[in-house]
Amino acid sequence: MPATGNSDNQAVLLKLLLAKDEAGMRYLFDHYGGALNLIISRIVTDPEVGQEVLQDVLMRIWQNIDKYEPDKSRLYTWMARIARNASIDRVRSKSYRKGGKTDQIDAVVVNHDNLSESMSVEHIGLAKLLNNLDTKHRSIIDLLYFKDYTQAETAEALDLPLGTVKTRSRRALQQLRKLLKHELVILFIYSLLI
Amino acid sequence: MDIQAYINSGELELYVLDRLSPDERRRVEQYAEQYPEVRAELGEIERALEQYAVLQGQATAAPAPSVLDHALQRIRSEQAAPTTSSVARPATEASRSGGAAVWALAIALALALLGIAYLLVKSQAREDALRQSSTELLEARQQFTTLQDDCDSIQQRVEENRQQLAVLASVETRNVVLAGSPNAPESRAVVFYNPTSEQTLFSAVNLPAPPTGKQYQLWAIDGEGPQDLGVLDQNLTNDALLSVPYLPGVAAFAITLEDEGGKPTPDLSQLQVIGEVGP
Repeated sequence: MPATGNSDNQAVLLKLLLAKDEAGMRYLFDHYGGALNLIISRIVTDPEVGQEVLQDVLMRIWQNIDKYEPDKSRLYTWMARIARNASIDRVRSKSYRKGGKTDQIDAVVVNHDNLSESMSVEHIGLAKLLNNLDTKHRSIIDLLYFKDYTQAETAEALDLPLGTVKTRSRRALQQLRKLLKHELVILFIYSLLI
Repeated sequence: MDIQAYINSGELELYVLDRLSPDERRRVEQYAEQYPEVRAELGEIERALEQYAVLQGQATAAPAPSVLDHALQRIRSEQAAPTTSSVARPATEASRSGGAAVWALAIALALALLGIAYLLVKSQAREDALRQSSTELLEARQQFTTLQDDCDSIQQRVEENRQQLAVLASVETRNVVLAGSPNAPESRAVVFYNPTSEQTLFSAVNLPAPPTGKQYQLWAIDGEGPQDLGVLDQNLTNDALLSVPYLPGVAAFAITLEDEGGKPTPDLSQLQVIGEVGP
């Protein structure tokens, strides 16, 4: 998807961070702050603690940028992993019980339903995207991506046979990719108009 | 190996989502190195999830700008700390170590000031203690002097008593009882007169306190008449034993009641007691 220019942005961001330039941190925060915060907020429910975790994540990225291996993953994938691990560490340190997870699943799905309603006009595209993404696909992506659910836990939560978690995630991602491509083309046209 | 089937299995998605076992993960990485299609597919999945998260995050989870400010503050404070070293930025490093030197100097200065303050306070305390103990020493010395004086006077008294006792115990001593005159029939006094050791002792056995403005005066009467032996203390106790001047050849001792201070010659009309020295 070269139309977005994401690949170039990633390279620039990496260069800035490696040079220990604060501008890198500002770009990182502006562009990925929401995405990282989203991952954190799905695991750490207390917003105040979530802010602390995000701050820690920013620090970890800053301090460990030289450990990032560009040929193994995209920079954002690496950062998202740091965010998720930091969140899990924080939640476990506060000895959240594992049993609590099952109760939170419904809340996750409910939140998604509220999401498309409460979204402001500028995010209509996303709302449409989320509405078009099948609920079962959205759930599996969110459980695997935004929460620390294992394959087995995801299977249990969505009442799926364990073997179908892989294929279900494949189908979910395929649908997401298709929708994103469409959405990003629209966004691209928008950006040309404005 | 059907690569398309492997791609369609969903394992790459779970790899990107970090939901694979270490063995499965290694296999994906191995295939990614081997097959460009796998690598490309992984990139597409990553991009899709990234865009999804960025879109949704910007819409629903934009963090407070203060988080960035705090993170930047931490970064700056960590860079200011001398522990972090970066070879890539020698200029910053130099100014950093300069800052560290200033800090070290400031800390050293603060420590020195603290040390001086401590010493001042301590020496002040020591001086106070010294002054205190010297005052105490002075007081103790005064007490000692007083005690020594007391001791001396007591020793003197003891010596006097011993000498008086010797007079009293001597066979040479004449006991002269001064009996009351018609002026004071109840009054009594005793004189111990020793011509050998030339000593005279006096004791007011029973003399009432003199009226205000009056004083008892002791006389020794010899061949030339009454000789003044001095006035008696106004609050003289009856059992006190006094050493009085010795005169040879005394025939009698007498006490008259005179005006305060005494007189050179006695007013014999005021005779209180009188006693003759025996042979």
